[in-house]
Amino acid sequence: MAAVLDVKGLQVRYGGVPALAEVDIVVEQGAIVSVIGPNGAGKSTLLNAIMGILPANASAKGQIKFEGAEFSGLSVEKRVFGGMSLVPERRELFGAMTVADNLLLGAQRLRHIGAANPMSQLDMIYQMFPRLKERHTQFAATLSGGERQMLAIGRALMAKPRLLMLDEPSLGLAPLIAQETLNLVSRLSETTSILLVEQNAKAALNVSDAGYVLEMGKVTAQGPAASLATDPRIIEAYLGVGKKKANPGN
Amino acid sequence: MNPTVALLLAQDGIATGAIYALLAMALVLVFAVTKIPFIPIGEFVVYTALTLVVIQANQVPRTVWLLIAAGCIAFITDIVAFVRERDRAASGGIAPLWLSAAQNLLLPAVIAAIVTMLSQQPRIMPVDMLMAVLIVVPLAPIIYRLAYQPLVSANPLVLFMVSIAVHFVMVGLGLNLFGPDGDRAEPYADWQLELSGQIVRGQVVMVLVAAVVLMVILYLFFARTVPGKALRAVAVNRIGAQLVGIGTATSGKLAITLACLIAALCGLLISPGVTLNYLSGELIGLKGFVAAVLGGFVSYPLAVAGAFVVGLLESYTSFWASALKEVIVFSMIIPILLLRTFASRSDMGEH
Ligand SMILES: Nc1ncnc2c1ncn2[C@@H]1O[C@H](COP(=O)(O)OP(=O)(O)OP(=O)(O)O)[C@@H](O)[C@H]1O
Ligand SMILES: [Mg+2]
Repeated sequence: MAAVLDVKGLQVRYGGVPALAEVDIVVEQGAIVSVIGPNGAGKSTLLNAIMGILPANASAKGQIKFEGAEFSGLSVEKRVFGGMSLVPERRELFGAMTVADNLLLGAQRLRHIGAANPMSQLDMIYQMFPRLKERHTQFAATLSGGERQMLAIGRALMAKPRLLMLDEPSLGLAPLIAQETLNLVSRLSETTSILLVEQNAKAALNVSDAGYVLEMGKVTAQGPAASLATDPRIIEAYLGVGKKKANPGN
Repeated sequence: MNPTVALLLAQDGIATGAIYALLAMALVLVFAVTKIPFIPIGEFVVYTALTLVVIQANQVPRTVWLLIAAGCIAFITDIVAFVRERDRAASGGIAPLWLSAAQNLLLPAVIAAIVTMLSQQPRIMPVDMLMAVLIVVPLAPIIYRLAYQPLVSANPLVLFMVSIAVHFVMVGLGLNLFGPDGDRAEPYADWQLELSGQIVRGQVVMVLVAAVVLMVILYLFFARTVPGKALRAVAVNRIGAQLVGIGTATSGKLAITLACLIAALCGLLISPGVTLNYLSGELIGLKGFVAAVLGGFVSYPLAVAGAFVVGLLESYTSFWASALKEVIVFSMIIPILLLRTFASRSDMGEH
């Protein structure tokens, strides 16, 4: 099995302050890989660095190999056209535009690569999220939190990505719906590889093939999801019985 | 002042207002997409008008050579950027260079060839106008490439300074290209209408019709087409736009080119009505700015309304106090900015 994503020695600094130090991450073809860790560990920084949307005060170093090609240093749109998609923590929807237009623009990658039918994903997404179809003329800014989540995932999927990166897709959702979202993630992995960041470590590891634990900008544990889920140290820190969220705070 | 004069002044005011409205919309568009205060917009108006004058004299305008030279510089810049990127990331083929060569070398050469060939032939006026637009508008993406693209993430103050620099470079080049004297083009509508006893000049009618048609086209472009929606998306959420693959540079180039196309059409519309020289762009552009400021640089309808206020004010003050015309128009900015600041205090938290 070839790796879709091979990150080696990734370092990120925010104005001189290190946020990621020498991080190595591999996502195999068709796999779901989750990254767990406390608040401020650098999980969002990791995904943003891979996607190339770090803020202006950040500097990144290291190798980002995507399907064999070096992607570090490429512009965001080249990474998108290459097949990466990110659902960022802040969703970054087009608030003053309709749900339908948000989805339409999600297909820019397929237009760029000259796909015969760039909107081919639309029916699939409306089937997956009937709510979005009902509300397709509504402005994205007026959607509920859960609907916004659906739209963000839907917009990312419109590009038919080869690698889908999800930053806390269940953030702020009711537990039942959060679980549903993760079930959806596991279904999505039939068509794309997935790199998942989740606060809900237990549920995330449940649907994943492999996992990484990120603490203070370093990978402190990694391995198959099943063995991470039974590692006593990780159970203590992140999978504490009865707790919904591992590290509440700020 | 009798009613006839008042109505004539109103006509003038509305016609100039329509021009400022188009320019203000162009400025709002560029600012929303790129955060660039595009001061040199007035130069595009003047370049087009004066290029048209030269074409109508059956000569090859020097703007053609400017286009070719600027294209060569842009192409070299692209090569340098390409080589540099290769050092860092060894991916991607040579395709972007072919594209750059087509845009920056081939297109100007083709335009130059067409213009040179046609300059000796008998032509109708729309062909002259089309040629002027074809020569001037392709300068826009080149200017974006050279002056603004290297600074995509710079703050608005830097972008403002760059705009001032581009403005002065274009004024200086304008003196070389067109000489110091003012000129006007042949009239495209030397007829008159009579509306219940009031004479309406054909040119006023044409300006208004063209402005309305352009605004409808722009509306349809932004509301219905994918590239239009992509530009809106950048204005609404720049990171979101990047995440779906709408490049900052691509959209910036498109926005500036569109704005300069609008400016060029304004240049055609006013070219028979007023005498323009290489310096005239400054005041025209700045008045578009005043109108855009009236709209807070975000609202198209308010900018259009502001433009008509500027046009009418200018027309009436030129009758009563022509020496103070510009003073009055520009001093409007101060109370309006103050009002806007107070007004925006109350809706600060909305974003
Ligand atoms: N733009 C920025 N400028 C300076 N520091 C930043 C910036 N963005 C993030 N940081 C810092 O980098 C560190 C990692 O942040 P990051 O958002 O990646 O954490 P995270 O693991 O995603 O946390 P959470 O679980 O809360 O989302 C934090 O200490 C944060 O304060
Ligand atoms: Mg985060």
